[in-house]
Amino acid sequence: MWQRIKTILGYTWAALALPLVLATFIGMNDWARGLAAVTGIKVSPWFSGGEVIHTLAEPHYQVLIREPVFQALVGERDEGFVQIDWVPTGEALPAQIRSDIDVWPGDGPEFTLHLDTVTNEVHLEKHSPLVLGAQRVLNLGQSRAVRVELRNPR
Amino acid sequence: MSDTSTAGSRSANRPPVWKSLLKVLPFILLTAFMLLGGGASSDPRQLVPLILTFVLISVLFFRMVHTGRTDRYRAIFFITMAFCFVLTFIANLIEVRGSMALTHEDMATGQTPFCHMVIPMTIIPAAFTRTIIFPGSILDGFANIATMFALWIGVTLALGRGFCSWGCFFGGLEDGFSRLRRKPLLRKIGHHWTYLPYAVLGAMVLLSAWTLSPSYCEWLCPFKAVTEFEAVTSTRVLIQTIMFGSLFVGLVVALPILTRRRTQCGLFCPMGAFQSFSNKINAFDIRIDREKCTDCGQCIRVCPTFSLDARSVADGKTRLSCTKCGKCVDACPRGAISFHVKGTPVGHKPARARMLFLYPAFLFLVVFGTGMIQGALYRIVLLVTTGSLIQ
Amino acid sequence: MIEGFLLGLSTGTSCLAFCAPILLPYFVAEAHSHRRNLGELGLFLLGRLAGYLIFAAAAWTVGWLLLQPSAGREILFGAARLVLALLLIAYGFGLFHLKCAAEGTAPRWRRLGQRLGMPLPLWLGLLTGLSLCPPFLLALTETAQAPSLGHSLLFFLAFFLGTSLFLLPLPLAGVVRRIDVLRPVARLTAGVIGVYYLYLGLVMITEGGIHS
Repeated sequence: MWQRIKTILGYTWAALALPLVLATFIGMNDWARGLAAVTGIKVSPWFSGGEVIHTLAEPHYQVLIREPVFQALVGERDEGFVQIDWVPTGEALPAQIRSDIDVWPGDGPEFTLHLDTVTNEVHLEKHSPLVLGAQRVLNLGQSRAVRVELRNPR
Repeated sequence: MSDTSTAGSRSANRPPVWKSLLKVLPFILLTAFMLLGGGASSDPRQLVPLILTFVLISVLFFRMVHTGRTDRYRAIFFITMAFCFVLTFIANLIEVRGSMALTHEDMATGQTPFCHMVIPMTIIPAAFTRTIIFPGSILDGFANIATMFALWIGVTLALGRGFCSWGCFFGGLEDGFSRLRRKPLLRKIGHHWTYLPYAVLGAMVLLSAWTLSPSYCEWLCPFKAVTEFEAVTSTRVLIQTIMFGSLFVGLVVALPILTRRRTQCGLFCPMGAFQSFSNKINAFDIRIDREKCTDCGQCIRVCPTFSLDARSVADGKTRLSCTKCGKCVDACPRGAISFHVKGTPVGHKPARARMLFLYPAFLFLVVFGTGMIQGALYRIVLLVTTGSLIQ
Repeated sequence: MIEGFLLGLSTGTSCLAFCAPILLPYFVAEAHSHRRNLGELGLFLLGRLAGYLIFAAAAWTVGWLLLQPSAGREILFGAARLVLALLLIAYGFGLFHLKCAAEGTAPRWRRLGQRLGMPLPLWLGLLTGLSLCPPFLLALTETAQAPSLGHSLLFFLAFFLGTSLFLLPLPLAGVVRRIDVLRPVARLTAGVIGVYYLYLGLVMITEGGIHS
């Protein structure tokens, strides 16, 4: 009796494999959207650069200041970075850009970036001991981005 | 011992052709629906490869059902798919990006296609931080993260570690190399090395959790040699490049040729180790009828992923790492090994269990792999007609 | 703390997997109740923790007393990390074998413990806590560089928790079979992690050389 039940359950389970494969392919986009919505999952800011928290409007371009990234498995790390993006509103970015960046508003800019969009070089002027250094310029088509390494103030 | 005695008895026991055709027809119709249901391209450079692939699939499945041999026909499609994937993927990269190298810009803009090999590394960080530690996109673009996870969940529930022999294109490369020689040159591999995949899994999962980066991809994945890799801009990346290059040559090419086994899959792959656990909840496994078995050891010798040893054979089953490729089933001279549905008695209607497995397994393989074969044939046609693999 | 925990989980388990089969029979062999087994396991763990913390404090004190932050300190710790990483690789991939520190000596400790009126599990725990296997030595090297004694002790507490995770189901049945599989996996895991620490050691030496 028990063997019969196990056999029926086993075959039922096995027979479900084919509809499962079909459902996987046919409904893949829906499953993917559902999975993303249910989990609320995002790409780690260590890769995506973080969410934009301030936007500075300048003639011909915008400066996007993203949320500083100190993400750790638990809590925060002692060091991280903040990504700054320059996005043109017209055709192209100016050849030379100077941006004073106030990451944590209230005590003035923590650093100033001098960006040359032709050579894709950046010079970092530090105004705070929390600023460690700048990585190389990311050439994102018409836009540019730089990650400035920071010490965690907390 | 060769399998001629099995071959002989299989020939004698073949069903009539019409019966095999009847069993195969639903599969052919299903495949046609899956491949052509969305409408086929009218471009002959796309349509002809699709039709050719469809014919190949139908012939292979018919042969699989009619002859009772699984591994040979599975391997033809599996290996073809793998090499076609490499050709298509690299050609696409060069067409879009200009090279196989992945730049920081590509990573910062989420343009890295998500690879299934990184899945185990993402679980703990995702649980703690609700983020995926991979420079891809959640829903946008080719092979985005959510789609690949949905695909992986579906195939894992259906096939367990069968994914490794009926889906993973990386495994197909090794499967191909492992069949180049008639006899192995290296036969003895220490049993303790079969635990290395679990060690690599444990180490990489913990390292990824600690560093919040996909450590296996960064340091060890040999398949970066045939897909994409970080542009060498620092000593660290140079070391990583040397490591993955060496691992590819050693584990994916050389050792499979010398041992006639899938050495990367069986002795290294952390995704394979992770996938092994899913065998516990899968409906299918491979079982050995101890009454028929004579302990000749042929199955142990042929198993490509070291999933059979003396102890497991004595227990009448495979180890957890079994990928259900069917090679041991085909090789057993006594017909003692068979596909099995859990819950049913061992040796109870093995042909039915086999069909119940083959349908979802081969369907997954062909739907997953047809695009790769079609893409590669298209590239070859492009090469012949224009002199270049890329547009 | 996370680093300590993960280091313990990935490498320290290999040490425990060798000692546990030798030590456990001394306090679980007599068909005690689960409650008593749990109690004895608790004492064992306490002894291990005491051993770990003693070593952690000693390692940090030596590191603090001997070397101030400097390029030379970086190079020395980098070299120590490198050597221990190589030991870990050699140990993990089976190039040499280690015996459990308590093997063969446990009867002597039992007699001493009985004379002192100390529970045996506590003594045995202390012994395993003081066994100088490569993962333990690597953890000590990390601890010696900690910015404070508190950090050092916390690191080793986390390391201890990481190594202990696999011990928790031990008072229950079916464990010995798991250890058969766990041992080669744990050793090889330690070897793989050793490769990563090898890289870290090289980086530390290179950076120390650049700063000097």
